[in-house]
Amino acid sequence: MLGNFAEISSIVKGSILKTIWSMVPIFCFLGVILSFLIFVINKFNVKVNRNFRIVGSLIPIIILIILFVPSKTTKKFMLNNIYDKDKAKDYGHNSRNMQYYSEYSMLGGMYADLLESRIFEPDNYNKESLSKILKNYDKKETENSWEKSNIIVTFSESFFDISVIEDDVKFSTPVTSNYNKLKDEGIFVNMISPSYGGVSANVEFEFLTGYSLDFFGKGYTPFMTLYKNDKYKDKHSLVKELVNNGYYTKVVFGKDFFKSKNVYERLGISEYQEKKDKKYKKGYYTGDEYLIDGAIEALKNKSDDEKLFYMNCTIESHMPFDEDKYDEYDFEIEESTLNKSQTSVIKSYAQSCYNADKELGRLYDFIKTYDEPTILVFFGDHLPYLSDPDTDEDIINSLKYFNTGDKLLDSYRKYNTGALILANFDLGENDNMNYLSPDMLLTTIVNKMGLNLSSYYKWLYDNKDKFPCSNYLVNTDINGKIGWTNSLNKEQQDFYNLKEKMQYYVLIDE
Amino acid sequence: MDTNKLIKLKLSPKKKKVLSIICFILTPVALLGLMILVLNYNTKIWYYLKPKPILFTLILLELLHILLTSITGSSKRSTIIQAIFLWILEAINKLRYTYTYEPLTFGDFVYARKFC
Repeated sequence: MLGNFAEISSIVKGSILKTIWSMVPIFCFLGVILSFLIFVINKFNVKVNRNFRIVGSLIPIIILIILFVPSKTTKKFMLNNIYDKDKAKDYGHNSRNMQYYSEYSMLGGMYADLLESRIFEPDNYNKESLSKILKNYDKKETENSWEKSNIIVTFSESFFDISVIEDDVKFSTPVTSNYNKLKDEGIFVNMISPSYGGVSANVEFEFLTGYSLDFFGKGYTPFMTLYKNDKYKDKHSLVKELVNNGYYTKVVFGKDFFKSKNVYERLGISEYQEKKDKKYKKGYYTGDEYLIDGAIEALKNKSDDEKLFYMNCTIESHMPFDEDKYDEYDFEIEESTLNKSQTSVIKSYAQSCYNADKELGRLYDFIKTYDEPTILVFFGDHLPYLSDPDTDEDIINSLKYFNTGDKLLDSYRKYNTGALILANFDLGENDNMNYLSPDMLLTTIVNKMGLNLSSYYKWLYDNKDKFPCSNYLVNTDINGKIGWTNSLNKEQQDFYNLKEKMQYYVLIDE
Repeated sequence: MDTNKLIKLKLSPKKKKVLSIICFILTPVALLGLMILVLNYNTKIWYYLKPKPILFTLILLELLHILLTSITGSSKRSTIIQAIFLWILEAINKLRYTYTYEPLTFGDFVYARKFC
C-alpha cells in the first residue's frame, strides 16, 4: 500500500529516516494530547447497549454512503453550498489540493478534493457517434508541412518574461534578451497554463498527452492519480505516437518532485533520468546549464537511423527565491516600487530567468549548426509563486502588470506563459499558431511534421482553431481574444462539449 | 477545573451522564482542533478557516465517532481508534508532503477514478 503514496518506495533510506526523525516532536505532542483526551474520556465513557448499537451504526453508515457514493447532485450541492468553490479568490495558492487542505483541514480538504476529482460521464455522451467521428480520421493524412525532425524541449520551470513588470522593477541589463530576440526568428506561442505557481506535472500531462485539464476537477493531478491505475497504461499519449514513428524518447529532470518515473513508463517514454548531482547545483537545485549540456550531448551521440525526442524539465528556477540563492548576480535592480524583501525575491527569480534565457541562446546556437533537421521548443510551464518572506503573500498581487483592474486580463496574465518554437530549417508561415494551450502544442508540432498519428490527434489538430487555448478559468480564441471559460459563445461551447466527450471516450471509456 | 478534582467530586449518576454526553460530543471537536493545529502546513490557518466547511467536517467526525462507538460499544474505544488513525494519517501525510509538496488525498487510497 505504501508504494502508492507518491512512490515512497523509491525514496532513499536516508531521507526516510530523516523525515521520520523530524516527525518525533509532532508525534510526542500528539501523544500527550491524545493520552489526556483518552484519560478524560475513560472517566466519562459512554457505553452503548446492544440494541442501540445496531441503530447507532446504521444511521451514520447511511449518511456516509450518501456523501461518499459518486453522484453529480451531491457533488454540486456540496461544492456550491459547503465549499463556496466559485467564491474562491486566492488563486495564488500553488495548488488546489493544498488550498483545500489548508482551508478546510485534513478531513474536510480530502473530502473536497474527492468531490472535485470525480470523473463523470459527460451529458449526452454517445460512444458510437464519437467512434464514428474518429473513424473518419483513420485514413486522413497529416499536414506534413515541416520536416520530420529531432525535437528538443526545454520545459522551463516557472519561466515567464519577467521584463514585463518594468512599471514596478527596472533591471540594469535585459534579463530575457534571447527569449525576446528569438520571438522574431521562430514561432512565438502565447499559452495558457493549467497551473499557477506549481504542479508542473499537470503541464507535463497536457503537453505529452494532448488531453486537457479543463475536463478534470480543479484539484486533479493525473500523474498522481490517473496513471496509478493499470487501466490507463495503454491509453494514447504523444510520447507513444513519437515512439511509433521511430523516435527515441527521453525525459530528463533536474529534480522530479512528483516521482513520476512509473508515470513516464506508462506514457511510453524510452528513457527517464533524474540528474540531481550536487556538483552541478546552481542556486538550490541542478542548474540549467548542466541539463542543456545533456541535450547537446544527446544530439551529438544519437544514432543516424532514429530521431530524437529529448525533453529537459529544468528546476533551477523552482522556488524558494531569496537573495542568498545565488552567490553572484549578472544585473542590478535600478528601480523598484516594491519593498526590500520583495525586491530581493524578484531579483533572485530574475537571475533564474537570466540563466534559463542564456541557456536557451546557447542551445539554439548549437542546433543551428547541427546537420539534421531539429526543432527546439522552449516554454515556461507556469508562473512562479513569488512569496513575500515577511507576509507570505504572493508578490504578484503587488505588481501593476497583474493588477490592471480588468479582472479578465489579470486572470489571463496569471496563467499566460510563452512558448518558442525554433528550428534549423525554415518553418514557413504559421499564423494559426500564436495561441495554443500546452495540450495543443506538441499535438500541433507532430501533425505539422506529417507523422503517422492516431485518429484522436488528427481530429484534435483538425479542430484546433475552434478552441485553441484555454484552462478552467480563461481562454483565448485564434485571434487572441480573451474570455472566461465558463461563458463561451455557442460555437465555442459546442466544440468544448464535444472535446470533453471525445477526451472522456479516448481516455476513460475506449 | 482540574480533571482529577472533578473525578474526586461525587457526581450524581444524572450529572455524570450529562457530562459523559458532553464529553462524547466534544471528542470530535478536540480531534478536529488537533487536525487543524497539527496537520495543517499552512501557518495562516486562522485566515483560511471558514465556518461552513469546519462545521461540515465536524459533522463528518461526529458521524464517525457515533459509528465507531456503536461498533465497538464504548466511546473510549472509538477515541483510541481515531487517535491511532490520526497518528497514521499524520505519518503518511508527512511523508507524502515531504516528497511531493502535495497533501494526502482520498485518491491515494482509491484507484478506480470512475468510482471515486
